[in-house]
Amino acid sequence: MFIRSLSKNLSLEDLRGLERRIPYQKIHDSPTLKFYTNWSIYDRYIFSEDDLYKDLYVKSLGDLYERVAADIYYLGSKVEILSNKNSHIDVRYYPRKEILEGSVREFFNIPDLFESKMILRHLLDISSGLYIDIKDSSKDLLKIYVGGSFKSSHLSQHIYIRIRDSVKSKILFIVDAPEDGMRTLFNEFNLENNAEATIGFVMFGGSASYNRNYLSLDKGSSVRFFTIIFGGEASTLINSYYLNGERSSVFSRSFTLSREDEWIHNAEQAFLENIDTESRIFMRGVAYDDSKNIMRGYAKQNRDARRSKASVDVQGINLGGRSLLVTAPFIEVLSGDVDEASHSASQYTLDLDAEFYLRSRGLDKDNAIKILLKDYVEDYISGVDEDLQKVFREYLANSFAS
Amino acid sequence: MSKREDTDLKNIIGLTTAEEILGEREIGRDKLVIKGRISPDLIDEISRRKKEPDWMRRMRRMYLEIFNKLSTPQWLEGIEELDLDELSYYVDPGVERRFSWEEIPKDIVEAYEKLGIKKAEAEFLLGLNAQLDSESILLRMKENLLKKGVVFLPLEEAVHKYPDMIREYFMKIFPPEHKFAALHGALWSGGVFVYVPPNVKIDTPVEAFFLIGSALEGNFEHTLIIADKNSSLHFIEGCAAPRLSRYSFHDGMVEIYVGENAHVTFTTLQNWSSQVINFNNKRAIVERNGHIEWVEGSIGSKVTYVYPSAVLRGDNASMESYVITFARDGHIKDSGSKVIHRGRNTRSRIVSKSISMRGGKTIYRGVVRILKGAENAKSYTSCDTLLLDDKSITATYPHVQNDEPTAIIGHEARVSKISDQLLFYLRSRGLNENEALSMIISGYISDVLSRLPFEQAAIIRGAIDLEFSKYGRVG
Repeated sequence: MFIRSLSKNLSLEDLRGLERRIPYQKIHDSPTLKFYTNWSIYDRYIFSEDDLYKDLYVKSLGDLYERVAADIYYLGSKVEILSNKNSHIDVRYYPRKEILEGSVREFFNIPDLFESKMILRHLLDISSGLYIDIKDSSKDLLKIYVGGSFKSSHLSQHIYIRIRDSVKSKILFIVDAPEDGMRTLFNEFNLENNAEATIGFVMFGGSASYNRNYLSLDKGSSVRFFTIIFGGEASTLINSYYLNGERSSVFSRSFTLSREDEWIHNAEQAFLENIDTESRIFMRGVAYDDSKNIMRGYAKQNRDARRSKASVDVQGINLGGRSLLVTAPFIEVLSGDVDEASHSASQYTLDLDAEFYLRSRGLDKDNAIKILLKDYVEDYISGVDEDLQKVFREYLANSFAS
Repeated sequence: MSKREDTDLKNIIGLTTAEEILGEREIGRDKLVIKGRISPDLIDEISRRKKEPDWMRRMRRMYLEIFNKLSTPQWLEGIEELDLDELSYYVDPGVERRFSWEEIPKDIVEAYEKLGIKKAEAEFLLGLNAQLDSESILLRMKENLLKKGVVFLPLEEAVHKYPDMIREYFMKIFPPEHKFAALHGALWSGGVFVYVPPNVKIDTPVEAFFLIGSALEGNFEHTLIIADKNSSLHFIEGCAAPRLSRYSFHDGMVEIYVGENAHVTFTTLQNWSSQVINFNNKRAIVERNGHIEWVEGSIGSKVTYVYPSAVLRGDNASMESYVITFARDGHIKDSGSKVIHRGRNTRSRIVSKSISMRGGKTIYRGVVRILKGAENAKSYTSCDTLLLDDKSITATYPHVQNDEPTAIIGHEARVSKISDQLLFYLRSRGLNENEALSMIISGYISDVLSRLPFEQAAIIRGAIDLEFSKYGRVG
């Protein structure tokens, strides 16, 4: 019944048949960009009942962040909670069977189940899900490690996070790289009235990953969402912010880094539905080697979004021999009474004079570029939440060092 | 601007009120019409009537096959009533092409007089091709143009006289890469061919003016311009239609080849009536040191899809595109510019200014593509929209796709509305609301106007003044 209620009365079997006919991505926003990522890579991986977890690839954060409220390891189709010292966070685990039976009605509150084949694949192959209820404010960090997927299989993980009325919370996701497998991770956040969330999202691409964050914001709520994506053969992250309540706001800042033959597709999209809402999207990216880095920013100010403000700013540096960088800042204004609607995009090269100077001082080209990029990265990090800066700087430093 | 100047502009160009000037009366009579399901036989019939060589007939058939294979783009909106099976694909206006106005039936000349075309031809054009429905009815050229060896002909005639050039360029600059481009290739009729020889510079404009005379017409005119080395040309394209009882469909194409060091300015003043569904496929290929400048004033039509584009093939080639778009009364204007940088040190600049009013919808859809090897390419895009009321909407979809590390690319856009404070200030200085609006909008598009030749700037400014004086209160 749960599946039927989600999908206009279709059964699981009906959806399996339908999934083959749905495109990976409906080209509703623009026909001019015909691809976002190499979808054929996602075709390689199939559903498996096995527990698809080996061990964590990501570097442990160690002492980088001491004030931890809870430490959740969501690995394959299992969950382990290492600490939950403040006990203001409830975590419930649901196996596949219970989800499909509709034990947790909050899951899959997704506007369009048929928007992409990947959404249906995620639903049909779902392995398990977490329900996290944040009941009280805390300055301490909720850490969530997500890992697993190998053996040429598709691991589908799902997290629903409720942040209650007026609660302030801070969450850090470390999303591990799938290894010869594919992971789809869908996170649904529900920020109730006047809730505030600061969210860090560090994602390692690996073989194939398709991740989506849906954030629903009620009246007066706000979210600051900071993202770093490190490569992957086919890595997609789409963040969707639904500013449903009046005076709700989002501040999103993402950084993508693609190297070798990696392919990143990052989309940040805000839907302003109510009066006095505000959306600020900043996207930064660097493409090296033969990689592809696709950055799409999108803000839609709907008819009721009077006095709303939206800006989309997408900027990238293409350093590669044969790399591709795409910047696409879209904006749709359906209300004639908006206070601000603007977007910008730029792509440029590093300062060639500065590079020449550094090389004349004995640095090789790679090191000269690293020094010049450091400023670019620092500019991004300086806009990240202060508590998360240390974590982000560490990951980016490790990446550049390699 | 004085009232007298307003009237002159209106008479010369008929920019804002073409639909009302022409009224509801169809233009022309005793027309011969080819209609029915689009088939090889229908294509052959059009080709036979035009006495085309067999290679062109076969080319048409090939495009028909491509049309049948391609699917209709799903993202198009506002074309629900378009039913290709009920259109007339070829409409012979029943008038032989002539070389003087006196030889054309009076009722048709009257339409061109009302639109100011006859006067414009006499006063400031070097050449004019006037087309009614699917055929050219008048071709006028001044001696200066002939002396310099410029070829200015209806395309049908060029197919016979210059077959090698037509075969080399026709539908090669804009191949049938989407369904409606393929349809155009199969059904084209009318349009002009211009060839400017090496080192010839034409400073005074030539114009092609297209008139759709009746409802349910398919209009597929084709303009092909070849500007040889070191040449220059300014070409004006104008279009209009009377108020029609039902829709008509325009699916035109403009192909321009800009040779080395050549310079082409292509200005479009689109003023179709509000029943016309307007598709226009425009592309230029620009060789070394060449320059193409697109200038577009999009005033009329019910729905418009047009994206002037350029492939900057040679080193140091450049493109500028200036588009001013008005959408009103529920009309949809989907426009933008596309540019592909292939040569080194290529430059592009795209400036789009849109105004949405009374429920109009404007969309900017652009592409900047920098190919590997286009070293030191630079591109800048600016697209702004002004919303005049809360019923009007807008969207912008720019894409920048870059394969070249040395490229520098910028894009910025802003959506704004008219400030109440500014309006109040202007009204307190004695302007009425329409004058104040007109002044604000003129200021809004002034950075585009300042880059245009004086005549074009005056035309667009006149259109704004006339728009607000005619329609009264906005919002």
